[in-house]
Amino acid sequence: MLLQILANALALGAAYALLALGFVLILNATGAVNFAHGDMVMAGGYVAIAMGSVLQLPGALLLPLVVAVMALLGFVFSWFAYFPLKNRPPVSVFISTIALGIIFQNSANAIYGAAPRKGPPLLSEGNFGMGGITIGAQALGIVVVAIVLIVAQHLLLNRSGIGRKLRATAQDREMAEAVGIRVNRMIALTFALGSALAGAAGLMLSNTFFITPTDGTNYVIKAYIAVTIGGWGSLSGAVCGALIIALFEVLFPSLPLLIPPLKIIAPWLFTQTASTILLYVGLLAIMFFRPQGLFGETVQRRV
Amino acid sequence: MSAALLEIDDVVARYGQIEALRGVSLMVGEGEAVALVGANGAGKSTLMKCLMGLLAPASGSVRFAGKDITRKATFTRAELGIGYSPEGRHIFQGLTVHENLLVASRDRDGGRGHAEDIYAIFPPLREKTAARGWELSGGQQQMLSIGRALMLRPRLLLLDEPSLGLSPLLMTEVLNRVQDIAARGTAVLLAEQNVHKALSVSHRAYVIKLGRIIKASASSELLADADLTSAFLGAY
Amino acid sequence: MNAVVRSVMGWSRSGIRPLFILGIILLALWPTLMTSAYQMRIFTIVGIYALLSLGYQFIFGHAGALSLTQGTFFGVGAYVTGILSVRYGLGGEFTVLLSIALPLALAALIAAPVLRLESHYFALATLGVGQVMLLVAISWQDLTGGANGLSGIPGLTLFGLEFGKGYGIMAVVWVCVAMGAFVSWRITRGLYGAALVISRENRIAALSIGIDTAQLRYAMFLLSAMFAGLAGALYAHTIRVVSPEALEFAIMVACLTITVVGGRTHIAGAILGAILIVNLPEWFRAMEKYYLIAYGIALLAMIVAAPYGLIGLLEQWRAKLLPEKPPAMPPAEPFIFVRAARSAAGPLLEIRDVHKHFGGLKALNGISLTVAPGQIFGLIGPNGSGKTTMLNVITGIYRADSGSVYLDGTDIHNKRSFVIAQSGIARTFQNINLVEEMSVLDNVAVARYRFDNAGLVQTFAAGRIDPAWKRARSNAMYVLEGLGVATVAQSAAGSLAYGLKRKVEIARALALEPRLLLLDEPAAGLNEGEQLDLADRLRAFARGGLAILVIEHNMPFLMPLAERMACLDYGDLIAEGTPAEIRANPLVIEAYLGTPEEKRA
Repeated sequence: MLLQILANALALGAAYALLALGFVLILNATGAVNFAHGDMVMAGGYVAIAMGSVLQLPGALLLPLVVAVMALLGFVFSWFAYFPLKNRPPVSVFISTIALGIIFQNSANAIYGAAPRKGPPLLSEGNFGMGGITIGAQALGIVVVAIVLIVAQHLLLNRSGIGRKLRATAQDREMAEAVGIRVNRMIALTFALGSALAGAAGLMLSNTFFITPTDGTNYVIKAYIAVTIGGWGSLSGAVCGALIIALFEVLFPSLPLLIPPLKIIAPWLFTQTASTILLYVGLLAIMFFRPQGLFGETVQRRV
Repeated sequence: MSAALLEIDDVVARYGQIEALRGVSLMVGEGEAVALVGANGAGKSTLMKCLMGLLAPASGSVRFAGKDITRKATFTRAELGIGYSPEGRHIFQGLTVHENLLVASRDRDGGRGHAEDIYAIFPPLREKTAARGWELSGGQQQMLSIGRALMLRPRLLLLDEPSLGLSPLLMTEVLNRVQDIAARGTAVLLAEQNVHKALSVSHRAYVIKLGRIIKASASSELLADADLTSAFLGAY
Repeated sequence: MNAVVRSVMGWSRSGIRPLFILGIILLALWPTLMTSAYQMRIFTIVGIYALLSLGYQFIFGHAGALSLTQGTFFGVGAYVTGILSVRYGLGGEFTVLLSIALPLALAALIAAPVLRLESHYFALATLGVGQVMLLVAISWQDLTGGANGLSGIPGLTLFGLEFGKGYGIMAVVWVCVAMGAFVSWRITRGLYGAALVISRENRIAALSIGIDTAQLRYAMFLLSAMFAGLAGALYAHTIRVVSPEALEFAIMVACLTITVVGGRTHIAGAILGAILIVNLPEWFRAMEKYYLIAYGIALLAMIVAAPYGLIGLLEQWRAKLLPEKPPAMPPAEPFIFVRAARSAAGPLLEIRDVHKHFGGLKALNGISLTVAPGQIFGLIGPNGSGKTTMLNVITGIYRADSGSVYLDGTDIHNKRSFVIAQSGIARTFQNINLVEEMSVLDNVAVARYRFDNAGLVQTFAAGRIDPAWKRARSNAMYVLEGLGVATVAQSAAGSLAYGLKRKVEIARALALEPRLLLLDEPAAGLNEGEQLDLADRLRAFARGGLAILVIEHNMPFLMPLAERMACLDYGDLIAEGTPAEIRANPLVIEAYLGTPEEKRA
């Protein structure tokens, strides 16, 4: 039973990890907090639904298409939200991403309506039996895909020439240009990359959790919580944070199943709603006691 | 007389409403080390930024190797062969020393070969090759900044106030390297407040005061010049 | 009587004011032109959103912190009114008060963890709060009526007077808007207003002149919550129903859009923005389903094209077309800004065995030194030796790992930087930290903030001209004269040459009436003549009792000036003594100055 719950948590955490990663990538590369990142996830889900109804393919085959569309969307997004404002204080970009998020949300609402929709599954809706545990094929697929994408992203950033350029652009845009880096391309690429990861997360979440136009706000808060836990700007921290959130979200409401007495003592505490509230309150608590994140370290600059 | 590599013609540049450059003309030839001396605020850094495309001049032109680069983007100038070590160094804090060098390279091997040459010019960097930028001292950062610019294999190296914030000892060490670099064929334009040091490592020099070139001559002649002292004394 | 009329006439003719007066007249006339109850209702809603936005300007515009809880406070206010009037039948006197009080309490509660965060992180944290409140409203059905909410909220009654539909509630709302505008205008002017400006434009500079930026932001946050609560209460009484819609993000979006479109620090902006944004769905009926998309587009367009909003844009045009005469330079009011130490005996500054490391790097390795009152002390050392770190430890920007720092006998090593500034330590920075858009005079005057009871309440209660601000500017004038830069008092700080900016920064530090002045490379950017002038002035201040600690690389400047010097190298104190002793000390020579033979081999 516990293992089942952990398996579900891992799958959810994998999706959240992709979401958080994309968020941090954009944050690092541009210093911009992309409020619309959650709406990107939502968009990914709807794109998957649109494609699924047209192409009748399983999600795993749709994934590259969705990723490509979302990358393009991210590229276009950067032209509206970021480039006109790149010389302004970062809060301007934050507001422009809020604006675009509003546009995304309400466009989705206008096209699809507010009722929840279900996206195409990755492979099939079946289950695997393994050592006494039943794992959904979907859950397994999510974990595998997420691992592949995360490893690919890590290699890209830390072991490749273009990754070095992306990091240099993130740290000092003017100087990066002065050493011959085409900075605008790097930034657009980062947005594309971040959106692609968000889109992948959206496809995977839309099957298990359905999708509504207003999901974006919740997703971006989750990304934010993950980054808070893991320490600002840290990619591995974001992944850890995402897993912790997923674990909490899945484990906490299931506690009465593992420890039956809890169901009698406080049934209202172990609902999805209550766990969400606790998560946010927990965020505030972390902010209060350890503003640099649970694992973060304030980087000291030589003066 | 070496062929003109860099020609600056009557450049006027503004920072907001202040005219920082009021018609500056100068020239750097192939393989020459040229000093640009003047008090802080005279316009040295402004000129460097115009040369690198980080600031757009209001009028005038900049030609590099015969091409008009006045309106060209910064990365184009880097590609054409202008290396830049800015005032304040601006190394990439989160990248290691080695990565700082590699990121500026456009070589086939990613720059690994060329990096060895840089370590030969600046041995202290070899010891710190895996250290992150923010861990380095001012002198090490200055060396890295110049080394990184050299990775571009530039025909012209722009050095903006390399001595700022360095102790006299380190400043000597760094500026002596400048002479080596010029000797190897890279032209150098060195903007410096430290007049004596700048003149001792350059062939020719320009004196800039309040946005105008007031003197141009061979460095050796300039050391005793009266106009030079007037550029530094007296109120604005 | 004539003088009053003349001054009002004069005031009303200057700058953009004729337009404002026109605007107010139009606004007042509009209700008389309304023909239907529906139009009245829209106008009432405009007023409510104007009030909401006015409140939002405190935290977002004046404090510069992007909060996303304004909508939540609004919703909480609406629910308090709804619950108390429907379930408990309380009258307006109680519900309005509690609708203001509860958001205030909520703001106070969440401020502690989130307010110190950087702007966009603060925004996301506050977003979380909004989500929580929405969930609570939907789930706690017994109290809130769940997803359906509460209906049948009565009209507003205050002490028996009924302000029902139509003119009644509309009048109440717009009276509140007028009062809110008055409060906003009063609070954000003068010395307190200047402190708000510097706190949001340059936090480090504000802390270095003793301003508690966190407290200012906190006050603005609470104010914004109060305005939002009031707006929510009025909203509940207007539409007579409260549902989770009142807590939804759409309201925050509208508020943000209004504030950005109108102008984030302009009172007229809140009203103009509200008129535009509330009426948008009305004017473009066909866009009913899409009006939120239009908000998004408007928000994006404004933030790109006119970040200071429409009123900000108008102000810019006005400044070009009808430039306002700058206010007359105030007369210099002398005061003693060089404070001698309390005890003539004993050191003024004592640093005892201070250690500071960053990760594995030892920046300060057990440094001890003392500075006497009225002494000029020079601190030299190679780059990376720890000089600026020392300065940052003294001023509380870094906390020492061990050891102590005593100012006139008091241990200050654990205190926060603005407290240390208030105790009498002023500093300048390597990079100039002035507010570029403010005039030189105002930049220096704001340093008088802590001297002149410039609290929120005092500023509100002051007369037409804030006397604290008048005094501060006069004092600032005097300090500027003392540094020989009074002629540029009216210029924007950003337009000055580097050397002048340096001097203005020193003037600002002196306006703090310090006992100890810390200067970080003050000679950088000055030509030789200016350096000599500065050295003379510093000597004069020291004679008056001011202790000065100078970090410098420029030996020709420092050696004749300092009475005592110390040399740091790799975090160690390697020498201390008179300039002559330092110059002759072999350790110093080796580490820092280099030997004369140190030339090319």
